[in-house]
Amino acid sequence: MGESGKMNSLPLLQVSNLNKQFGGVKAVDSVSFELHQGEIMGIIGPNGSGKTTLVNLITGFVKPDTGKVTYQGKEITGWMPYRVATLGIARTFQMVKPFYQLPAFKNLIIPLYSPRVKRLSGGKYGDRDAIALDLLEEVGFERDSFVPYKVASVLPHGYLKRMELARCIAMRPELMILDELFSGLSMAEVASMLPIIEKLMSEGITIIMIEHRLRELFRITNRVIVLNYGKKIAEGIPKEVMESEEVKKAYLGAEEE
Amino acid sequence: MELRKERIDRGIKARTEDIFALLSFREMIYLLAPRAILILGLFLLTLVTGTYWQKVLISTATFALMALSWDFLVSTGMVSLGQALFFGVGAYIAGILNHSLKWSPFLTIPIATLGGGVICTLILLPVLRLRGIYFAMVTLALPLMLVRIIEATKIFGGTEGISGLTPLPSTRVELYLSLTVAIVVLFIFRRLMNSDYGLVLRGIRDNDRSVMSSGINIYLFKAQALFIASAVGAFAGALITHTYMFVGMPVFELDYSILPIAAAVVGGMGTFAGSLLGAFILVPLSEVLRGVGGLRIVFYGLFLVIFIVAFPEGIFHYILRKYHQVERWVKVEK
Amino acid sequence: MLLEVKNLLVFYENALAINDLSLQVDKGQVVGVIGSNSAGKTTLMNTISGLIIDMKIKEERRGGERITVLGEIHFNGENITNTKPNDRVKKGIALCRERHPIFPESDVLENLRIAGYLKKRSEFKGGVDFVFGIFPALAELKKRRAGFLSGGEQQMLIIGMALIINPVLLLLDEPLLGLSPAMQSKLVKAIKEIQKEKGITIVIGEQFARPILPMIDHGYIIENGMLALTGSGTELMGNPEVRAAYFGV
Repeated sequence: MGESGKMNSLPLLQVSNLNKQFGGVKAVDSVSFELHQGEIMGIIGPNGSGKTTLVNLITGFVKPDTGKVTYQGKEITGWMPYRVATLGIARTFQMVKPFYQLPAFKNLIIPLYSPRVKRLSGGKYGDRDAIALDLLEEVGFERDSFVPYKVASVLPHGYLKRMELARCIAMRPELMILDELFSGLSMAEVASMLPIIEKLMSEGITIIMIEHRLRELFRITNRVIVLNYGKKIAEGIPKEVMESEEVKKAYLGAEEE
Repeated sequence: MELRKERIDRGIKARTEDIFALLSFREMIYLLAPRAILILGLFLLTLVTGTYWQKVLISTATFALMALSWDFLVSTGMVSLGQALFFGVGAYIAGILNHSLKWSPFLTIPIATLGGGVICTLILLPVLRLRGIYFAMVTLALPLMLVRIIEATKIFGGTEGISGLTPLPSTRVELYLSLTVAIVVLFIFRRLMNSDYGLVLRGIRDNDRSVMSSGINIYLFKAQALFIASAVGAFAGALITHTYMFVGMPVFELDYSILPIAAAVVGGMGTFAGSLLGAFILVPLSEVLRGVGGLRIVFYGLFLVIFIVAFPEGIFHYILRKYHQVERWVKVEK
Repeated sequence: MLLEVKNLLVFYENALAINDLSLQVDKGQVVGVIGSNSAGKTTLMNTISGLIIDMKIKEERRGGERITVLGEIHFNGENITNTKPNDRVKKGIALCRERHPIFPESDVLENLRIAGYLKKRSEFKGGVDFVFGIFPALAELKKRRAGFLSGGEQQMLIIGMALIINPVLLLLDEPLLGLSPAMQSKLVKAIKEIQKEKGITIVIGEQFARPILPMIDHGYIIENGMLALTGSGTELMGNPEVRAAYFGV
């Protein structure tokens, strides 16, 4: 089954038997898993398998019907999203909706204005504009160029995705949930973002990645869970998971590449 | 040879954005001129007008304040159809304090402003959590409900209202007070909206999920915005109470809810200066049309439609665009 | 030649989105337009379908950026450059954009009925049968609310809604975006079937060439709003530069 290496510490995130039904459809069906600090885990599965709903349940955007979410030993089931974020869980959104009329760096001001960042900076905000520019450089915006100052509506998709990642990092989270960060990016763009994620990992940040881009995902994670129709149908090392018959039928279709 | 119309920035906005504007005389003119024209123009108006038109100006400033309040709420994503609620609550608080406790206007007006803000925020607090049109619906219904309650229970003077209240020292004082507060609120709102705090508020309007996931309690911010906006509206109500020395059921009328919206939309939503501009167009227009008699409403409606069709973005937006940008024909280069 | 785009130029304010682009599509072909994200694929689709005219009017009204379109578009021998989008639909041009225009509160059958509003009862029934034939999974979801469908199912619904009106030219803007590998191959097979059964001409705009190159008759590679390369499906598949730049997952 899963990796249970870190015996010396309690799991950072514990999801127990989450269930959510919308209308007649079971979006998430008895999903459970554990995540330890510093791990990076992938969640994969066909469209409609409940991946984003699962993230919404963990981060408080949707209340579960039954089940529990525990973070750092505290039960956070059903907490409002801003409380979950203040605790240290940050997420990206699949549909990126930036503030189009604002420059790229201004798009990061809002997370930098949050109480959590204020607390972690020792009680003062600091120069938000400068911090925003630093964050953008961290995700690959060329520092000494006009790009960070360009209005979001003229930025290509790749930059918007980086901005979304920067928004997440701005919260200084301990757990980051990246929902299809790589969707719509070219292979070159994804390749340039992998080192950024690896750097975050080296800083001890725990990461959950929902992805369709399996080849790139498996380069950085060695643990993956597979969802189908809301149920967890497999969990483990990518190689083993991809060999499973059920996964092949549900997700990969007739041929593999 | 193919031509197309090109629009380029005059560079005024970029050059005057920073502190470097202080270095150049020309940039300073660009920045100060509009504001100076506004303030001097209004000052001149107060000198040349007779008593009748001075009262109209006071009314204009009042509606301008309500339009500013509406514009502020809209910038946060809350559409209020009940500016009359803020207006009426402020009016009644001032009227009751003056009538029962004999407090002077210089005491009742500030108390009505803050008290009105607190009361209106508390009343609307439950609705802040709901998405969609509920805020608009509740703000529309509340003033109308309050009118019925006053009528039925006959409290606060009932249908006759409370009259014989203390006026302010003179019409001039009323005039200067209302215009000054309108201008001050204008500048404060603009400053606020351009700051990072305003960014959070506009973020709540554009994408509140994203703001929530950034760890910010959007309900707290919405409540703050509501307090500020309703306090401004309550001030307007309290001022009018002492100007006309009377407060009654008419303060909750739909007029006080709708005209500010029209002023803000015609003038340009989001610009605050547009709210002022809109009020200064629509209120005098309403007075001028009084002579026309019954068809007054028709002409008024016609003017509104003309403004909206000619300047769909709002008059002030249009002016801003023309001030900042220039258009010309250029050759198409492939 | 069913569709001809001649020397198209599209400006968003002063930014050039499409730069002197020309292409031709013959009747019954499946043509691929391949390019990365800001290459101009969506702008091209919007221009062919006429949506750009709507956008232009809307921006003018709001005082936003001015959209300028120069060049010509010919369809079935007619110059449709200035034809309104709804008239173009009547001529048989249908555009499918990213999961638009799904009506989330209505169920699948109702969505199809909305799409086929102007069709007669009998034609509509035939259309629905055809759609469910191409997408059997959709048939099982007849009564499901469109908002609860998965991404791939929504994509199928969108294409189904376009097929109801029996289009002559079907424009698909990134139909495979965000779909799982299984879903992508299902959709590709369905598109090929549509071409075979009804002879509908199809233009697909995509960022990743690999899933669609095997099935297109002709392809155009667009970069920075300009035509970079053109050739048949097999020619492009064999081109090493194309493989390097556009073969993703």
